[in-house]
Amino acid sequence: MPKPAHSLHNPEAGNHPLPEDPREIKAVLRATKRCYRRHPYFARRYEQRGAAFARSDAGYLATLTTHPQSHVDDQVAWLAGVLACRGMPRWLMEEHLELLFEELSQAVPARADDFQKLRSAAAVLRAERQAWIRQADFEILSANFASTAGPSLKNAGGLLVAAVCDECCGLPHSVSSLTLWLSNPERFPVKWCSAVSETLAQARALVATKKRTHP
Amino acid sequence: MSDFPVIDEGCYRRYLTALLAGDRRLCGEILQEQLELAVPLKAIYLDLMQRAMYEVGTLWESNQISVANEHLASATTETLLAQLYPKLFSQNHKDRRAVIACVPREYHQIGPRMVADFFELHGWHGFSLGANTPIDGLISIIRERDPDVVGLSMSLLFNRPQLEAMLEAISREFPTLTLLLGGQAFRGDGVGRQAREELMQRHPQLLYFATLNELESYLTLA
Repeated sequence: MPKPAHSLHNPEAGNHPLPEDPREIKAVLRATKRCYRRHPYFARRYEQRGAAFARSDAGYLATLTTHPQSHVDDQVAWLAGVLACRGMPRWLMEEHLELLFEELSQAVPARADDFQKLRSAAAVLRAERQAWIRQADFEILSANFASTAGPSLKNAGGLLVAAVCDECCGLPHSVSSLTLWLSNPERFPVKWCSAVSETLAQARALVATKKRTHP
Repeated sequence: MSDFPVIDEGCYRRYLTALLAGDRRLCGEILQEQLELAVPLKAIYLDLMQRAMYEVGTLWESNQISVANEHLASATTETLLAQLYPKLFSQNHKDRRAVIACVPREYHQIGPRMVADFFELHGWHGFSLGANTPIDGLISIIRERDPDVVGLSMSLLFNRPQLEAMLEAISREFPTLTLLLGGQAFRGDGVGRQAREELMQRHPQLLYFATLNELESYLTLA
């Protein structure tokens, strides 16, 4: 009898490892669903194809936890960089890793120490982001965007600010690949697009100050 | 300083642009020009083709080219390698044989193909088995060709279980056969290094080469 399809398997993502423990598989699915709910941008922009990649990527990340922390960090840095240049700021990976940690360690408490590596990898990404814009400013800019642009896409302001941080971290296409969709006037009203430009300008002004004080 | 002509930056840029455009004809003309200028094959491999493919990888990572463009560049490079074969196979050969294979599920085959060509360049018979080589198929080829060395390539570290199974099978059947290891998975000082050191400890006949230059040093002594 043929083996049933793995619920995290994505033929487009190629032949990479995925968890075999059904508890881990369910936990990965739950974490990805929560991340999608928190960031509706994912589903709006990338639809079903993106969801399949999000599940298979998350499954792959879960399998990394049997490796040393340095390997987890390397793989996360690589994947997060690839995604950031395709319109998914690394903040999304940071959040997805935190949710994966929560769900996986709850599902398989005996492996909580292993899953902690995902949280540590998230902390590396967070530190890099906050090195450019501190968390309080990040939240203020995100909230300002929401109040100016309107509530049509939760957390979109955070994505813009995070993309500016990624740009400062040496990922030059992070902002353009995001705004290609997020400030498309055929998709969003003028008010929204103006708020995007305004938020980017404010975030860039903050990092410019940082660059001046810590060249 | 080398007495041989080298690949200049303008030539490299022209080649990369043609490669990204999928212009196989122009890439071929550039290779031919370099051959006529007596640029050594090694320089064409390393400073033109390998460098360009590394840059293609970086461009894909940063979303400046699509995955389809990347595949086109890979396919074009493989075709161009064949264009160099008349020159490559005109070298005098000695009775030394190398079988080069990708481990099961490993599909990055340009590097190992270049390795097999490098053996040819040094007068060996280099047999490249390409991507995703099944273990029993490799064992059969080793029996059939009786190589002096077998090279295994792995680009993605998560294929390590397949590599380990392959190494176990070869070591069981041919315990004294020299094995070579290479590929992007083992580069650097992190987990790749740890993996290759563990494997080399378990298989004392296993030698690791990080670059074609290192392999060349081995070949000049072998």
